[in-house]
Amino acid sequence: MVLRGKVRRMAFLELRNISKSYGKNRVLDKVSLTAEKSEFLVILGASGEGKSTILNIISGVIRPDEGEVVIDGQVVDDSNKTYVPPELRDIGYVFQNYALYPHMSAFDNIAFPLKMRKLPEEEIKKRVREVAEMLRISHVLDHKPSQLSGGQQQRVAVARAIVKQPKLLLMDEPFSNIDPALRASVRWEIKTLVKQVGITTVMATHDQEEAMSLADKILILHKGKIIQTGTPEEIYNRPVNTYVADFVGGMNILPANILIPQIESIAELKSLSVENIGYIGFRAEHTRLDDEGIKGRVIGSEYRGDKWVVLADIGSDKPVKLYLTTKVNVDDTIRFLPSRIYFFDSQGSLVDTKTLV
Amino acid sequence: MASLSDAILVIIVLSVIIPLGSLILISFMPPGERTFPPVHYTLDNYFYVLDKLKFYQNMFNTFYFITLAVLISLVISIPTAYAIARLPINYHLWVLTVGLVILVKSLPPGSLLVPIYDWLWRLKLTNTPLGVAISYQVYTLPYTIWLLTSFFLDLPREIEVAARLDGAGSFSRLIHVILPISIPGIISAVIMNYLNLWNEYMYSSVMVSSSRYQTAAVILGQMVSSEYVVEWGVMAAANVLSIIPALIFVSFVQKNISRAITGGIKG
Repeated sequence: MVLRGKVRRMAFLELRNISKSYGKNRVLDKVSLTAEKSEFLVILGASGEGKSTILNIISGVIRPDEGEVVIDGQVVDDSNKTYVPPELRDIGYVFQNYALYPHMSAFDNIAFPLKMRKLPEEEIKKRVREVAEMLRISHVLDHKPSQLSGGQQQRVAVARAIVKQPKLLLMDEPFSNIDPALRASVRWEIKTLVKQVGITTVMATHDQEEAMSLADKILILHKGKIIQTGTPEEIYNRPVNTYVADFVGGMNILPANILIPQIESIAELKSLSVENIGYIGFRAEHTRLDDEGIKGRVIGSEYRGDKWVVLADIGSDKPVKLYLTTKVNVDDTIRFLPSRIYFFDSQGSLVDTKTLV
Repeated sequence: MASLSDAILVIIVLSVIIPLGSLILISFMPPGERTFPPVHYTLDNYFYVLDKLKFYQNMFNTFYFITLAVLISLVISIPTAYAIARLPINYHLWVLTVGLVILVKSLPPGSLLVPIYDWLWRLKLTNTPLGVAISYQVYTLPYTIWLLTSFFLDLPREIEVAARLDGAGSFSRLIHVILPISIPGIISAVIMNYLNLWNEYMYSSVMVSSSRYQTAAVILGQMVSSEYVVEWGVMAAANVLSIIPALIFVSFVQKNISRAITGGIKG
């Protein structure tokens, strides 16, 4: 029993209290994260929040000022004497701009990591063909990167990253250079592939939709700190604060003093009032028209096939967004009810959520 | 205003064409004749230069020494430039290397003539092609390092990081990734070195005393400074001959030259 407290199960990838500053600018502030084997981790943050810095610290290209990096039970960087250089870390990396070798054919690009490992020629050919088959780029293997389409370049980059069957796959905004029309299908393919290969993956993105669709676990990075970790459902259903609520899924967040008078006049909501509330939020997809509801004036209305996207002015400085099933016209006065309400304190931290029937 | 700039252009073009044209005309002037433009035309001067003076041998020497010098420079400059541009070397070492390159590049080449001659003499390398090529490093080495460093600095960093993550050490990265994508930069360096050294006189004349290893530029110099009669026709013919390879070379690599000249600023 005494021992149990000391035994610490180690995750496959662990960052412990990583800090990194550039001059006076503290990019990462005691960031810790863990990933289990075969887990798909997504670091979600606005641009300039240090997502790439985390990936670069995991890969060893950048060294942290403080903290430890552990991969597969081995401390690869303790921000002191222990430092395993990137070339020995066994990591596959997909760059935002793919960083393919321009002078090599697609085949040679994919084969390069295997050549560096001095695998026999036959083995290299076999493995490159296998992975090319998986990514459906077998027919362009003799093309130079400049002759490939953006999507094909990206697949070559992914193939190069996974062909050596690395311990870890890191991806830095891998879909941002892909045609938006193709993005969803490419994303789906990558997700299937990564699951099939069973490789532990860390991806950095600023796109919450990408994060939601790919991640087993999302980490939200803001001002150098990880402010929330959880499954996509957890993040969506219980955002820790107004920043996350707005960033993931774009919640309508209003100062409580604007909404409370309206709420108090509504019998259904009155019983829900909570102490010490600074902000109240609800999501567009959780709203419906209701004669007893909050009053607003429609200032914009767009038909999207499955729904009407409506902007309504309810007396706050920002209009609220609603998804409705019936048509409303601009300048109409409507009454609506949110079916799920989030309560935040004056600092913006989540206090409670209530679901209305 | 257009007419003024046109006039300036015409003057500049004439200042090139008139001496060059006169040179070509004089090279066809029969020996002993003193009228210009020549009344009679002859190829005697060319026969004399090639047949009697074996001037092609001197031109070959020039080419041979420059080639050797450029090869030595590349072997030294490529790793040096790469280290300056990219490797996390010790800061003091970095400053020392860069400082040395800039120092040598800005010194007048003649200031190093005596120590280099002294050195090569002790190593018994004077009067050898290798010795001349080594002395040429005064020109080629700082220039090549400087040009390649700026070229390496402009290469996308991600590609190198990608190579590192693919398991390539610094030497493999240089050989398999950096060098192949640096070929345009290396070609620029080679071209500029050939053009800069084709007329080199000072080191070529001092490092070599035997007639066997004299370069074309040195022979031309001797023709003018000879204590006997200056044979204008012969000298002009030799001059024209020595221009030809440079001319051919330039016409072949014209496209690369502008890139090479601006390469120092932006690869």
